[in-house]
Order: sequence, then structure tokens, then C-alpha cells
Amino acid sequence: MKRKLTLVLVFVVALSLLLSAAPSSAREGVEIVVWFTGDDQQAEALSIAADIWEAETGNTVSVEAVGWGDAYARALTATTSGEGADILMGGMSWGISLGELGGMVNLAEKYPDDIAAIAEASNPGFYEAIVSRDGSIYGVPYNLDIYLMYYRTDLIETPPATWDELRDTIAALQADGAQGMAIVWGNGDWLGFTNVLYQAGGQWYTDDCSAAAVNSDEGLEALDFYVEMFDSLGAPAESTDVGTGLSTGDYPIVIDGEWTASGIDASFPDLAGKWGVAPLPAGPSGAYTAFIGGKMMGIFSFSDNVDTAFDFMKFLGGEASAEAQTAAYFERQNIFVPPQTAWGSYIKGGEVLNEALNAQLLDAVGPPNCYGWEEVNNDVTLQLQAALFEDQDLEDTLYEIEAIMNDGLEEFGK
Amino acid sequence: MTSMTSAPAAWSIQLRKGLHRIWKAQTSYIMLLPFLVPFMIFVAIPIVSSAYLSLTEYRGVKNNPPVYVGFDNFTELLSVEVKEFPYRVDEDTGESVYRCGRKNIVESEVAAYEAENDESCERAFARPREVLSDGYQEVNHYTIFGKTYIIGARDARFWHALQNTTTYVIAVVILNVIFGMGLALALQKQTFFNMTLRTIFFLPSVTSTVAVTVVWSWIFRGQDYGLINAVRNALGADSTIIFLRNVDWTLPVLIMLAVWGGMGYNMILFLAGLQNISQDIYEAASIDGANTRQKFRFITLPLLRPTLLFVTVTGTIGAFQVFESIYVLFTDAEGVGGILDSGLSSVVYLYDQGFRQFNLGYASAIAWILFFIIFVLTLINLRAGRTREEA
Repeated sequence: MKRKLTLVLVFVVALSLLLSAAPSSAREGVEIVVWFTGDDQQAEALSIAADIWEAETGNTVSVEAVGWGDAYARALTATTSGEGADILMGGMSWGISLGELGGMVNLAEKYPDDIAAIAEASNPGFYEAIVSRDGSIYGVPYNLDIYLMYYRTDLIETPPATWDELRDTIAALQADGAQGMAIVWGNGDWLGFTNVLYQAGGQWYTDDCSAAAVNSDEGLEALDFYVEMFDSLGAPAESTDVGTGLSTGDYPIVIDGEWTASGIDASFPDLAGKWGVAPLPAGPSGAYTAFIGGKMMGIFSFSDNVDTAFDFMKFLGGEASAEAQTAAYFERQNIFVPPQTAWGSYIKGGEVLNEALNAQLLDAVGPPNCYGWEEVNNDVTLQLQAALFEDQDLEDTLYEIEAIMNDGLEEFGK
Repeated sequence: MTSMTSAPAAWSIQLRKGLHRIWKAQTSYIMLLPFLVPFMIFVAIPIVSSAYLSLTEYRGVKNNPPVYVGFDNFTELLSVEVKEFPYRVDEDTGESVYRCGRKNIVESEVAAYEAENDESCERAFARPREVLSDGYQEVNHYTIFGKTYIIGARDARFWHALQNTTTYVIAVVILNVIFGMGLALALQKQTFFNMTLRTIFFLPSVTSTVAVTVVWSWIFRGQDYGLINAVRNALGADSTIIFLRNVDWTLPVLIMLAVWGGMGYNMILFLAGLQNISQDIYEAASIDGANTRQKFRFITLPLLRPTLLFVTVTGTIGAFQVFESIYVLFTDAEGVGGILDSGLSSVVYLYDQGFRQFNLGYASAIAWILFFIIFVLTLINLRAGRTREEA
């Protein structure tokens, strides 16, 4: 009798353990831990959106802000140890790199229908950048960052819409004593070059990622213009920030990310009403493409709450979250750009900014998702800098970049 | 039969004796534990692990355990080749190619270009990739006795970092010795003024490198609000110097920071050394008619030799490990070594490989190469010091 009772007890305990360890479907009373790469204020804004989901589902969300400098190392350590948060929000390329190491859940495999819907709703430039070459998706878009052109409205009547207009505008400004234009985000590296490369009609790789495509006539035209920006259009090697450049009048045109817009008036009250923002000037191909960055959100493969975490991520891609987060960011003098094209109208940055931002989002491109790019892009930047600051021949530069990228494809390609 | 039983018995007796000795000295071993345990955990085990990892390919992830690759990491890092660097010839016309600004043009068009652009052209070298073996990239090229040679490496960034580090170490160690000794000699008298100055010069040594470097980064900023440029502008300079995004300025800035931060510490060491030199020797030399320069050359310098050796050895080790100032000044989301890697040092490259690219096996191999370099340099220093003492 005693033995039977013991067996029954063991069976009950084992069953309860098994049930608690079984993969969960979205359920109530679960705590989702989020590692948010960014500052405390942005994490706070995320928590405000999370409150809505908590009220709807009865689950709780714990958001922890992690600085950009530490976040990737921390995510990798979590992948190594199998312990950490449920959700990671971080750099858009992190999903692929951590996913290929086995650290993130392949969402395309686990939730094919939901992922198809997310793909449909998201900005195509961003979405393409987060899909692995084998079709795996380890993260979905959380927010967008994109280049814009800031300018002094009292010095420039109409913002330049083409490369030629930019040349003419800068020449006129320089004649009046200005230094010229400045680039802040990605100054002198591959990010800044991506803009002009696509504006010239070029691209980094072939569409199927089988080879580098940058060494082309379009690539040469782009590099020539990139060099011109630093040589004669006044772009300084060590950049200024937007507010200072505009405020002093040294740089009446500054190219930077959209997030800068939120702090200009507060930090430089003298600029109030004197600055505007526009999409980047179009190149010879007619494209005014801007590099698009932002954060992805993915689920760690060791998470016990995969379904609930994905449910929260789906909520974050929805309308209620977009509305709440854009408002919360705005209150904190920040700008939240939802990745879903439908929620563009919620962006709070003023009419001019919204118009420029939504126009620029229509022509945007993310980083290449080809094998080896993450590993070689630093070498690509070194070559670009050799052309910009060491007078390296432009054709030689593109020849070398092409070789570096193809070496990367060969070494890291699968 | 006897031999079979007696051997283990003797071994067992030895073991028992050993254990008994340990038991008798148990207090000593217990006293050693507070040092020994952390030493094993934080020093010995990581060193052994790093030696093992240097022979593996390891991305630091549980699902991808280290894969043993033998000495591949070391081969990749240390593979270097030197080849003659030929001038470029145009493939279509067979003419020599000249480099004019950013353009490469054929010889027949050079005169017209130079006249039109008012700049001179020079012979262009072949593309490094076409000269070097597969997988090698240019580290540098040098002209010796009229012939130009290209140095290529499989990991050109490592060699570039090593080149930067070597320049940095030589400059920092020499300047820190000169300035440290100079300050010690100038401030050795115990007056209030000297003691105040000593404190001021020593202050950077006890200040956080990171905090100090942040302040210096503002001083060196290229815009008008950088302190140096602001002063230059106030004095009438019509252009700003971009210190931190200029290949020619990167190393001098780093060297200046290190010398500013390190000479006070060396001054204290030299002061201690100077105080150990008996005044009687100087008095005897004065009686013999020695002048100040002779006293320094034949008394101070030889008797400061142990301090000089210590300062040189520790200075070399410290300079080889330079990291914080480069990290603060040049590391951003896209890179670690500043513009064109002009500030990339060996330890910063190790950090880049280990903690940004997560090539932990490769980073471990770099660490062991650096250890070996520092070890050899220290041996050379010690040997040189001993030889001088023996002489």
C-alpha cells in the first residue's frame, strides 16, 4: 500500500513538472522579461505600451534598459549560459547573428502565418534586412531609424532635392561664409556611403547575394560624390552635431538620423522656427534612398515563455502600441517611428518632420543581409576612408571593396 | 612475488609521509588559502583556459563548443610575406601609370594633367592584391636602396595594430623616462614649492584614465569648441585642426596623453632612486673637480640604473597594454581604432576580435602572442640591465 502511494505521488509530481516545463501557449500570469537596448527614457516609453498589454492579458512585463555598448555582449553571454531575458530588443542585425548561433527562436518556422502578416505590414527596407539568407527570421521590427536632411530655413529657401541642387546650394552658402554640409550618423563609413550608393542606382551585392555588385559605374559615381562631399561640399572628417552645425551657421545643411529632430529646439532655442527637415537629395538614378536602421525584437531560444513573448511582440506591432509609444516618446523629447507603414500617421514630431519622414520611408534600404557582411564591413569602411582621407584612387577602392566582400561571401557563405 | 608487494608498499609509505607533512603544516596551508583560491580561480584557470582556447575556433556560445584547430589561429596571425612592389603598367597601352591626386592616369597624359591642375604626379604601384599571395593584404611598403618592397599579411589589421603599438611603446617609454627623470632632478629639493609641484605632476597618475581621456577628447575636438582650436582661433588661426580624425595626429595625441599621465609616476620612482644616492659621493666628486654634467653622467645615471630598469620594464609592459584612452577616444558603433585604424593597438584589436566579433579563440591567440612579445622584451631589458651592472 505504502509503495503504491509512493508511486502515485512520484507520478503526480513528475506530471506536474512535465506540464510546467512544456512549451507554453500564450497564457495568463506569466512575467515576460525584456532586455531593451537603449536609454531609460525609451524603456519607460516601452513600459507604458506594455501596461496596455498587461491589462488585456493579465501577464506582466519587466523592461530592463541596457546600454548599446553592453547589450550585444550581454545577449551573447545569455545565449552561452542559457539564462537571461525572454525578449531581446536590439540592433537590427543582431537577430541573424545570434539566431545563427542558436540563441534565438526562428519565428518564421514557428509562426509562419503571423510572420507573413508582419512582413506585409512592415517597411520593406527594414524587413528585407532581418531575413536570413536561408529564410529564417529571428527578430521582427520594433522601431525604425532613418536618415534625414536638416537645414536652416532662413538661409535656404528650398531644400536641395537632387545632387546638383545640393552642389549649387552649398556653393552659394560657402560664398556667404559657411563651411558647407555635414554628415553625423555614419560619417565617413559604409552607412553614409550606402545612401549615395543607392541614390546613384548602385547596390552592395547582387539581388541573390552571390557576389559583390558595388564595383560598377553607379558605384564609381556614388564614391565620386561621397568624396566630393568631404572635399568640396564641406563635410568635416570629425563631424559636428546637428544643433551646433545649424546654430553656428557653419553647417546649414546636416545629414543625420530622425531622432536628432526632437532635441534641437530644447537645446538650441535660438534655432526655433529657423530649421526644417527634408528627405535626402536624389541621385542620378532619381532615387533618394536613405539607409534605414532600427531595433528588432526576438525571443531567446531558452525562454520558457515563447508563445506569450511572441504574443507581446505582436501587440507591440499593433496600432494601440504605436499610438501609446509615439506619444510616450514625444513626451520624453524623443521620436518613435513604428516599423509598420500603416502607423506612420501616429509619428509625433511636427507636421514638417512627419511629412519628410514618411516621404523618406518610402525609399529606404537596410544593411545587406548577405553572408559575411557583418564580418567585412569594417574593412569596407577602411577602404572608403582611404579614398576619402588618403587620396586612394576611386577605382582601386571599389576594386578592393569588391574583393573584400567576395572574400567574405566565400569565407562565411553557406 | 616479493618485489610485486614491496613496490606499492614503498610508494604507500611515501604518500603517507607526504600527507603527514601536509597535515603537520596544515595551518600554513590554511593561511595560504585566501590567496590561493582566488589566484586559482581568477588567474591560473583563466590562463590555462586561454591557452586551450587559442588552439580552437570558439564563438563563445553553448551550442557551438570550441573546435580544436591546432595552430591555425597563430598561423593566420603570424603569416607575413615580403615581395618586390612593382610599378603599375596600363594593361591596354603598356604605358606606365601615374597617381595624380585620386586619379590614376597613363604617362602620356601626365604632363597635361599637371599643367591643368597645378599638382605633381608620381608613379603608381600595382594593386597589392595582384602582387601578394591569395588571402594576404598590404600592411605597408618601404623603399630600400631604390627598390620598393610590399609587406603583406594574412591578418593585416593585426600587424597594423602591432606597428602602431610599437611606435607608441617606444615613444611613451622614452619620453616618460626623460620627463620623469627631468622632473625628479628639478624637484628633488624638499621645499614647499617643489612638493606642491610634485603633487600636481603626480595627480594624473591617480586620476581615472577614462575620466581624463573624456576631458582631453573635448580639448582635442576638431570643431571650434575644442579647447585647442578655440585658442588657436582666438589667436587668429583661420582653420581648425581635426586631431581625432586625422591619421597624422592620432598617435601623437595618444602618446601625449600617456606621457602627461605617466611622467608624474616615474618622477616619484626616480625621486626615491635619487634619495638612495649618498650625498657623500657627490661631495667627493665636487672635491675632485667634477662639474654638474659629469656628476649626472658618472654618478646619478649609473646609480639610478635599477630604477631606470624598473621604470623601463614596467613602462613597456604598461604601454603595450594601452586600451582605455583608445577605447574612449575612438571606439564607436562601427569601429575601434579610429580613422583608418590609425589608433588601433594590439589590445584594442584583441578586444575587437574577442568582444565585438566574438572570435574568442582567435582573441586568445592574440593574447598569447602579446604575452610572448612582452615576455621577450622584459627578458631583453633585464639582460641589458644586468650586463650593464656587470660591466
